[in-house]
Amino acid sequence: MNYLPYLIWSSPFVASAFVLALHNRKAAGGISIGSIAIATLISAYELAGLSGHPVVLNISWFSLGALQVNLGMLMDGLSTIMALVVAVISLLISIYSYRYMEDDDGINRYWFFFTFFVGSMLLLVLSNNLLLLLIGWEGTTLSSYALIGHWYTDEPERWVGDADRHTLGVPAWSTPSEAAIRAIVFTSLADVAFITAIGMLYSVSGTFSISVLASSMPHVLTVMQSRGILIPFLIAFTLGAFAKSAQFPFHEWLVTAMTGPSSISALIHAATMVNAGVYLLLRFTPMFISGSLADGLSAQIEPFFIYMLIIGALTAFMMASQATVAKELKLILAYSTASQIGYMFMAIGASFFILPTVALFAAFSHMISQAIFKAALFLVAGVLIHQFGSRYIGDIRGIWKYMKYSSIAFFLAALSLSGIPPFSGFWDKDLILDLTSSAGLWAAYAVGMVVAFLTAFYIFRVIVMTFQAGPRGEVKEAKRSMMWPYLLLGVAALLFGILWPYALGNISGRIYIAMTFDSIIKWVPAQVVSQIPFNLVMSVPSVAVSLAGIFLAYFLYRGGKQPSISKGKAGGMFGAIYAFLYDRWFINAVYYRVFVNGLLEVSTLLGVFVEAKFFDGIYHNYIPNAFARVSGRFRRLQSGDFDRFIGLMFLGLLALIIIFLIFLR
Amino acid sequence: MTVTALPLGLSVLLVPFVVSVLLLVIGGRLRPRLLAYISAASLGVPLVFTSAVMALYRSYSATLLAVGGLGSFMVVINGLNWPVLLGIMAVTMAIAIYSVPYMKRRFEELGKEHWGTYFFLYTFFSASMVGIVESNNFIMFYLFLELSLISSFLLIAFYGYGDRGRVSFIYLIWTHLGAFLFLLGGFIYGMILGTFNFYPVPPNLSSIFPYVYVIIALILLGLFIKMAIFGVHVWLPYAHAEAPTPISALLSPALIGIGGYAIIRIPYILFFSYMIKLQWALIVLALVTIIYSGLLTFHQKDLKRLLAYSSIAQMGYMLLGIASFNPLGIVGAILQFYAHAVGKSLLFSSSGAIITENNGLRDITKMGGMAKEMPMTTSMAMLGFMDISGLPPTVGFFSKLFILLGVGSFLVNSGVYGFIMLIFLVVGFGITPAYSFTAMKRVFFGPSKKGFKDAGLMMMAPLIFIAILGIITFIFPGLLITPLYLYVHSLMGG
Amino acid sequence: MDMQIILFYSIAPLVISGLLIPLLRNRQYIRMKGIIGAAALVITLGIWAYEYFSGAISSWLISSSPVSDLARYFLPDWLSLLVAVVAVMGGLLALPLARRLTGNQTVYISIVLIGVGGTIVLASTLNPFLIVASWGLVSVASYALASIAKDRDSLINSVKYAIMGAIAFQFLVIAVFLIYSSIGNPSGALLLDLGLLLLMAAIGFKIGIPPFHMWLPDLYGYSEPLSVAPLSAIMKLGPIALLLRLMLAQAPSGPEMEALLAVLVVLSIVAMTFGNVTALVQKNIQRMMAYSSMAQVGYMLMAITVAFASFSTRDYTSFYFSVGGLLIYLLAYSASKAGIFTLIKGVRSGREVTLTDIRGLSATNGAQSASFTILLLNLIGLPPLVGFWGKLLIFASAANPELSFFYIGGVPWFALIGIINSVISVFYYMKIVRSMYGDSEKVRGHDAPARRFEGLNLVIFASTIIVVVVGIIVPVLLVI
Repeated sequence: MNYLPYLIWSSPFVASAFVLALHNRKAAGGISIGSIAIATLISAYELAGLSGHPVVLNISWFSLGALQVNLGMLMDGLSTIMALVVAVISLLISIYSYRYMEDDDGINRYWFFFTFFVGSMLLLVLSNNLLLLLIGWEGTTLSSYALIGHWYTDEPERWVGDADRHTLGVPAWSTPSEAAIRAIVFTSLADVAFITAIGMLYSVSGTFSISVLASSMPHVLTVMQSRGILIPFLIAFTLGAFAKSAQFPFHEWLVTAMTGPSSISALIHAATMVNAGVYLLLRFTPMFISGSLADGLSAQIEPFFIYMLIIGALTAFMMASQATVAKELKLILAYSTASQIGYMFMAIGASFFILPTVALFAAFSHMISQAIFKAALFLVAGVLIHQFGSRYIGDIRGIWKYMKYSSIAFFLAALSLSGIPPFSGFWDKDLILDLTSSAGLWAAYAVGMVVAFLTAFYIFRVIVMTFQAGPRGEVKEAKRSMMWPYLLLGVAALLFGILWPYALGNISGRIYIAMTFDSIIKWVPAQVVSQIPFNLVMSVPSVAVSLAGIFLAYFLYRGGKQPSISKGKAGGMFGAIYAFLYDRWFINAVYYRVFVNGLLEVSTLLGVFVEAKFFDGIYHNYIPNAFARVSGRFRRLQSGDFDRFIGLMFLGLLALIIIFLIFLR
Repeated sequence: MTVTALPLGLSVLLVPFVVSVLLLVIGGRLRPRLLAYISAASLGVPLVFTSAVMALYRSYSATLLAVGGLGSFMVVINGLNWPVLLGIMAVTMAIAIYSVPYMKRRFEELGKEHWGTYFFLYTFFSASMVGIVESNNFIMFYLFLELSLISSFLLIAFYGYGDRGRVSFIYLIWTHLGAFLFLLGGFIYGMILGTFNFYPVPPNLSSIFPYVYVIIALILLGLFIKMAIFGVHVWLPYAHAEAPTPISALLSPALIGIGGYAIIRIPYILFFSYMIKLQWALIVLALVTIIYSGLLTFHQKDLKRLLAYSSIAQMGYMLLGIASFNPLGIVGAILQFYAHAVGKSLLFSSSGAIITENNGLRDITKMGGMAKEMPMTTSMAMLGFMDISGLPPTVGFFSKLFILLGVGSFLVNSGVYGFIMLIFLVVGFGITPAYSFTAMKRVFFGPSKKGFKDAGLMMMAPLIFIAILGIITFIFPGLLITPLYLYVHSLMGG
Repeated sequence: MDMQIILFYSIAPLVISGLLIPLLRNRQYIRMKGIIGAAALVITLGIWAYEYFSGAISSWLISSSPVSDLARYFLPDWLSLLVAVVAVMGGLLALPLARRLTGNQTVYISIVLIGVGGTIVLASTLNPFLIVASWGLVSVASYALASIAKDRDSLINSVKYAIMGAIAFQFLVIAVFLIYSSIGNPSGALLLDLGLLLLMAAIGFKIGIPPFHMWLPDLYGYSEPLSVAPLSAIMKLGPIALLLRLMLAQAPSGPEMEALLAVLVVLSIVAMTFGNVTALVQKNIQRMMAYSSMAQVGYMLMAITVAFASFSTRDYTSFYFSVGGLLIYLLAYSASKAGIFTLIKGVRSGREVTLTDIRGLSATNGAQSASFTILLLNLIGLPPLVGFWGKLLIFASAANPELSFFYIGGVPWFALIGIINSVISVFYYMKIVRSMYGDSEKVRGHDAPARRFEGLNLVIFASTIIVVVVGIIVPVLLVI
């Protein structure tokens, strides 16, 4: 058997063990980069060698009675491409990190969790076993926690949000250690539902193997339907994915997750964490759709997809709207990630209504595009923040003048994000919008258009503000080894877009074919690549709104001016809207007021009243005191009075006789 | 009425008891470190034996003594108690070494050294926990339970903190009550059946059924007190917070967890068809325990008290696994014992490291920013919290996983209303990482302060051993799960 | 010669040496007198052991009909054998204490010997004359013991005790008369019932069951502990055995039996609850132990009740368990009480000894504190001490569902009450332990009250060793 693919995920894990064991500042980075390079090479090799059927590899792990649980690998188009994307982007980020984190105190810790993160993600993507997948899944949770909180000493310059700003009385800023908690709590909450749903799946199907589940999914869905829990089950099953991918109502963890190093932000937003949820849905949605088709459960399963559409659209819009007023560079990019993933969820939701494989492909392709341009954006942002010593875009000036290459990379990536042809962001976003409109999902389409406009606006707001006017202080271009990874990513965003539409041998076609034909998705009625219903006419409006957004940004922010509204000075309705957007729709504040503070309130109440007054009071005060009282009364019987002694003896005898007579029926 | 020739297994398992008395006698003459090694080695003997038995035979039983009317006193090792035994033995071994630097400090505070007494009680306590788990008989179970109770009571009373007289008192009374109620249930059982054995299952078991609910109620109530399930949990925070930390590290995960193990071992196996009627009650109780004590952790200012409340929540998990009434959940519950033994001993020992190195510091509000100067302790505490939150690469991942899988299997059959429970489940399981990592932040993270000192190797090496054990069993879960599942599955027949 | 007669004569060494020892006037011979006494006890025990191994001791409690032959003076069986063993043990534990008395050392020894002898007879007979005679023997020994110290408390209390004892003796005589005159009497049922109730009252006095207990807290609580030690360790054994034996031998059947059972249950519950609850607030340890004795008797009554109930329903498991438990418990109780009152003697300096007086005892007298703790744990009934096995068997026997009398709605209430009582008792026993250990560092440096254990250590440690060693071998004994 071919054990080579196991190296894809195990080599980062081994590297992390080495990093821990050696504890050597110099070696850590090299080992890590090397291990990720190995993962990249092997996944490229495996992708090249992939043909015909999905490859399933098994090493026995442990057994549950008759059921053998394997260290299974499932290598089909979806997982192998995904693995390659993860590996490549992680590799570039790791190369960037080598210099970026050079002087950090916790460098060993950084590389340990970095490789652990990458290994977990690759494990998650490649495993053919839900239990193994879960290990990767939780592994990413753990590493994201550790890396978001990497600078655990909580210096103010690491915070996200404005210090001293309060929303509804809730602090509007997060320290690294707090942001880390937010990440782990939000994702863990949803994972509980996810794991429970895996339990349901297992109890019906008797397997944890994904490739086996693919064929038994109709049965599973039928059983769930017959028990009346089909939709709850699906929601529970995908809840983890929603949280990982930062969809409403779990999006809050992502927007504060930039307290870690910028390279980690890039990793989380582009390569590892958030894509995990999308991957899981891409993996299982085809099973759900075909499963429901096979057993005629289409009507019953529809609400689930509508729900996904709604959440996706809502998140996309919500996050984009917040990005338009945000002041922190990385915060804008974070909003953007959640918003873009909202698009992907919309596409997955739409897949039920029209051309499933195409819709899923659109989501997948957008995920790749997003990974490329978002990695570039974050890596550049890391350099900018470092050079300018501020995380606010208001303080970053004149980057075009002094940092040509970085500016180019940033600009290319921004264009891709805005969805300007011929960038990859354009193609797949447009495909998503196309699909929603041709499926008749006009509300989704409308939201998509608005988000497209907002996206172009907010990212060009950054560009316009940072590109113009002079620098403040000493600013220089990044070191070369840091620069070329993101330059490469920026160019890749362009190239991916240029190559995307060309017929025969083009990239999108290859991805599509690999994803649909070489995978377990394949038994969804497959369309050939030419069937991708690409309608250039339909894309005119979306390009138009994007351009409008860019224009508006230019118009409002050109020449270094800032509209009064974005200074937060405008009163009236605009001021209110501004505050509403700036304060993240008050959702964060509400979470804290209702849940966090509520929890603490309840905790205090329980602690004071139930625990101390009630339980402690009854058990350790009331009962002993009652005994003491009775005891005291008994004791008083014992007077030294001798007459009483004798009297009591006769009374006692009398009592015995009476008791005897009472019981003598 | 037979006294079998003392089998090898039994004599091996009695080694720690004999050694403990020896330690008492020679305690004054040897250096504490040597005493610790002797204690650890004596506890290691049954560990090696048990592991060998599991590797070779997968199950083992040997009769010491058969007493007419009381049943036979025998030692049982099988897939079900193997993870429990491994957890207890490994942790007690490691913590014996850990005790030396910790107790040195404690003795300085108390003004007098009693190394012999300490290690006598420690070893005796550890060995009696092993005895409980290996017993097959109500009387023997109770006997070892009381032995462990007395030795741990004395350890708290002698070396505890705070108002240790009162605390050890509360501890003794409560657990004694629990043990007695349990025993009363056993009496009814034994008086009807003519044997107090619960292994092997008596053939005339059905003659007990008219009294089964009383028996179940008594046994469950007794074990709930032992486990500190909501309603009868009040004693635990006192005892576990005020015990000397090495003892907290044994009490909290190991001793109370035995209650959960016993629920599986006794009423669950014997009266399955009756127990299952209580399923919803058990589930609600488990969830209430998890959420209630989870919430209370936020209220705590004392680190050890926080950990004590967390232990209650972990017992809720265990009960939840049991209440799912399927093999996966049971596997989860037993693994939970093991994972909690590993995780909570790490946590208590870490808090002990903070206490020893920083002049008895226990108040969380005075902590913060310790990570920089106590990296080892931070790592160990982190691993501990990961264990109880169920994050890989710790074995806690599997315990939470299997409990949830078990609950999932249950939910499939409980219709749409079961999903209301799922909401509470999400809250309950979500609270653990919330308080765990909030505690990490409050204790270790934030602006770094000067003046903290990390613990030395003598203190940290045992913790590293425990942590590595937790990771090894994560990587090779089959070591525990495979025999465990086989046993559970054969019990439930499907 | 008849085997039974030999056993009857086995008390001869006790009585003879008991009567002769006072003749050796010289105080210097006290050690020798003690040795003579001990030798007498050992000889007695030896005779019993010999008879046991030669198979002369029947076990009618289990096998055959009890009252076939009234002409037999003596019914040596398991019950009397084990009571004899415990009584001899109590005697051996008491003898060394004589040296600590300020006066009357010789009398003390002889009283102990006579008391043991009386106890053995009382525990082995169904003959009315022997009952009355041996009762008298035990009583006289008790009064003498109680008054042996010359302090005011001992004197007053012993006088009260003696006067009340005289009344109880009347009860007993009438009871024996009624019971034995009912035999063969067609209308004897009423006589029998009344007789048994009177018997309970008399024995209730002797072993201190409320409301016949009034002498006990004062006598045990304030008198010379060296008198109390044998009083509680030896003098209760005979009446308890007598109660069991007579109840089993003579009890009526049917509804009257149930009513008698109810009376016994009430007595048992009252004894343990009253004893335990009252002990809770005592600050004076000796008095606390007085109430504890009352509670302990409650458990023994529980065993007797269960034995009685199970004997009449022919439930031999419970019968075995309860009688076995009772005998084991007697041993546990006697050893513990002998040791504890001796310890109290050691720490007592004034009229009473309070919890504060023993603060920090562990720091100054480690071994004595440890012994005290073990003896108390034995009374609580914790393994592996012998008290555990006794309580275990007693409670188990009471929880037998075959005995529907002890069940209401499926709940074994009698056993439950016993268990709850047992848990309550932990409170006050542990108060003592806490006092000895918990506050040790607070007291160190202060001048603690004088503690003089010389002459007492032998008894303290011997009783502790008995409690531990017998506890460990009891499971093996149960096998035999």
